[in-house]
Amino acid sequence: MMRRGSQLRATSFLAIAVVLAVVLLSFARVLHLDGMRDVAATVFEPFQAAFTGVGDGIRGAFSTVDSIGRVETENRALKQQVTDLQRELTTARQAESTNRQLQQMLDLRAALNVHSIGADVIARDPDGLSPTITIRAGKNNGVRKGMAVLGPRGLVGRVVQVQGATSQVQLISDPQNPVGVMLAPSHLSGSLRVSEGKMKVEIPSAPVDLRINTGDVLVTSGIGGNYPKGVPVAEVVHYQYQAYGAAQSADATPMDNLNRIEVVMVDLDFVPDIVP
Amino acid sequence: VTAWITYPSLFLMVALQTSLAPQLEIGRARPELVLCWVICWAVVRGRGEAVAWAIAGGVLLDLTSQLPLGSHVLALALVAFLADLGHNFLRGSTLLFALVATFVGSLVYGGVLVLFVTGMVRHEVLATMLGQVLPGAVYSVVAVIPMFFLLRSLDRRFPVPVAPEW
Repeated sequence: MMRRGSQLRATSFLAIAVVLAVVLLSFARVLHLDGMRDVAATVFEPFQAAFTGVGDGIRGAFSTVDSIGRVETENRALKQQVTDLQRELTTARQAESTNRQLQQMLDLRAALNVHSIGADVIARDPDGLSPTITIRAGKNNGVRKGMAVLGPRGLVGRVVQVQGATSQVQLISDPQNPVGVMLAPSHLSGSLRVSEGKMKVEIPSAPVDLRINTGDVLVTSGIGGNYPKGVPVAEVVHYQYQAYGAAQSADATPMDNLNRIEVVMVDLDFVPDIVP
Repeated sequence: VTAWITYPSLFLMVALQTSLAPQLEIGRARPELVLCWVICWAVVRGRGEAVAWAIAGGVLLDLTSQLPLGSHVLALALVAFLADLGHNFLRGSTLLFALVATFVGSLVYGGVLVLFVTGMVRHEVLATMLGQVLPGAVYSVVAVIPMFFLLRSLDRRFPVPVAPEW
């Protein structure tokens, strides 16, 4: 009897969930429910920032433990001393890494001659299926929808949602976010997109004598009006000439490690033609 | 009493899912903490409670994700319903059942979300399932172990009230 009751309850909740999902999927835009995401982002922001800090600590601790293991085998007597030194070293390395990223961003900003604002990455999308990050800069800092977001070495993505103090950035690793690019050496235009987990650049109507080398840099072409022109995006990691194809394609990798990026800057100068 | 535990814990899990879980990523796999939490509750408690948790958790995940609103509600409620069904059918709250339910549930959950992301393009669905969802399911199986024991101890502390027999 109880089993039947609980089954009925579960089925009822499932029916409610299905109806709710259908309503949300169908009418979210009409009912302007996307605004709820802004509220949620504001509410979650302090918690996400705190947990991201905890995550950094955990990663640092793992790295320290790993180092201890290696040092222990060499000299047990110095274990405590080495642990302390490793902890300091980890902290110093983290600081050095952050400094390097910030210095690279300053160099990139100077090279591109843009006005920008720096921001910490405080959260990422829950499933990894729609690659987005949340950054600690929003309307209050002059951030607007569609603005380009840069990492230490190049383009990271673009702003798709803005709240007062935070914004969501759609990364260039999102399959739904193709980027118009050109090969820096030859200025041949193409499209950079992620397909089946791999980033590829496709160059339509490529000349038969096309030469692409590993390490060639791809920069934004400005075509489509989504991104400013001339920003480094990715570099070629593998290319094989396809004899019978009108289009050529090459494997590429983003300039920055998008999974580990900690600080970004938002290009405040660029106003996109089409706001996402 | 459970409501006092449910909603703060779901909020906490969603905050962890969006901040801590991505930092624990191995390759492209990351643990699905909210999913594990909901499945564990279904395995430990049954009674359809987990499906209600799934709705609340799904709404919170929808609000923190860029996927279409409603996609997480649907995926999470479906998995919770199946786990609850399994609990009723097997009348079991064992760790082994939790592990199997998490693995299968992760694949179902990931599968539903992948359909929303890829728009049912067949080769994209397959690539994402094999490259991301499957390793993520294995990761979630590991993550569910401490949650199972935590929720089982909570269940023992706040047992289901038994209806009087006449």
